Amino acid sequence: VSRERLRSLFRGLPGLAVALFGVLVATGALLSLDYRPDPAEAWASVGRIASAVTLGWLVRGLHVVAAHLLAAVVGLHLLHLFFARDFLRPGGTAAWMLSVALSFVVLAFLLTGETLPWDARAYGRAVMTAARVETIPVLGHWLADVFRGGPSVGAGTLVRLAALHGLLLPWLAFAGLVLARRLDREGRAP
Amino acid sequence: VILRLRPGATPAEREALLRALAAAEIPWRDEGDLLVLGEGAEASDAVAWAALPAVAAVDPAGSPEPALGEAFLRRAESLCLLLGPLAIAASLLPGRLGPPADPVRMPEDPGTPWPLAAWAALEERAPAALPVPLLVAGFGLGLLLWPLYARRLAERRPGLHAAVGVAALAIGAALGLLGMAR
Repeated sequence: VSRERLRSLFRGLPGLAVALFGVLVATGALLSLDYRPDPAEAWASVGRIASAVTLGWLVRGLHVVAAHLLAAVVGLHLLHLFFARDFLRPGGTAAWMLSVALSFVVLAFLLTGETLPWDARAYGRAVMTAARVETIPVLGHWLADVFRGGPSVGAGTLVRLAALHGLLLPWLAFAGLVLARRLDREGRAP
Repeated sequence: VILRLRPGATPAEREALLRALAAAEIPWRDEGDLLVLGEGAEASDAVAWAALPAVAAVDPAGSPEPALGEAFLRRAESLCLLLGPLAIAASLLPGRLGPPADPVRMPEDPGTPWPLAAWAALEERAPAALPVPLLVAGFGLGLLLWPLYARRLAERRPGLHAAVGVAALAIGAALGLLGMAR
């Protein structure tokens, strides 16, 4: 693979990230039609999506695969920006910081989305993730409270995580992508 | 105005061109072998741009925009190329759904989400005196602010800059693999 081709492949990563985000929004909207963010119903509703809803298994699978692929694409994009020393060009610092911030948003998407099925594993991971986040200096307690929706993982957590995953984080990601597009138009983003 | 870049142009020559554009306050879009210049670029300056070592040719006319139908077909083709492998992967991966959550009974080892695997491995293996959460928070903040304090390093010692990146990547990957293999 020539160096120029490799470079053009890496330059295509933001476009791929936008396409994957589009797939996530579309499949997420379809999943939200049948998902119930309630501790008593969440697990059963995910089971219904996977087994009873027409092509629900495929929509759910696409959502999960696209989410993990998006995280990998964002990671590769950051590596490209780093090793190409892209932040040295005019406006490159803003593009770098925006990319890192978007990668944090993608991480939050993964962590909140993983808890939504509300099975035993998801519950256990939510408890451990909240405990781990709580140990972060300065912001840890606040972040853990935002994640849990209260002092401990419980009924309020699922509602909180569903709201974060389906309402707040998509808008944050959308705003980030719009800003990245604007930087691109001004010839400052990769 | 479109600048067609010389295939053998060195990074320094490309950077000199970008600096010249920045000095002239001309916005640009990088298309790999092409630089598409925005407002402010005059066709009358073509001779000056063509004289720069990185530039092979100047095309004042630009490439024609694809027709609406063609653009739609291109997008549809790209979407199919993306959705096809995604659908295959989605159908091959098992949609695991364990027993329902029971707040009274915590599962013994729920595992760690892969983005936090390196953190989990560090917590397990690092000496007790090492403030792991502080390290993790510091890494996140350091990553965000990297261009602000490492600019000089990246400009003057690109080899060392790359070595720092490779070392961080290797440590992160090793810890991540250890965390996931638990």
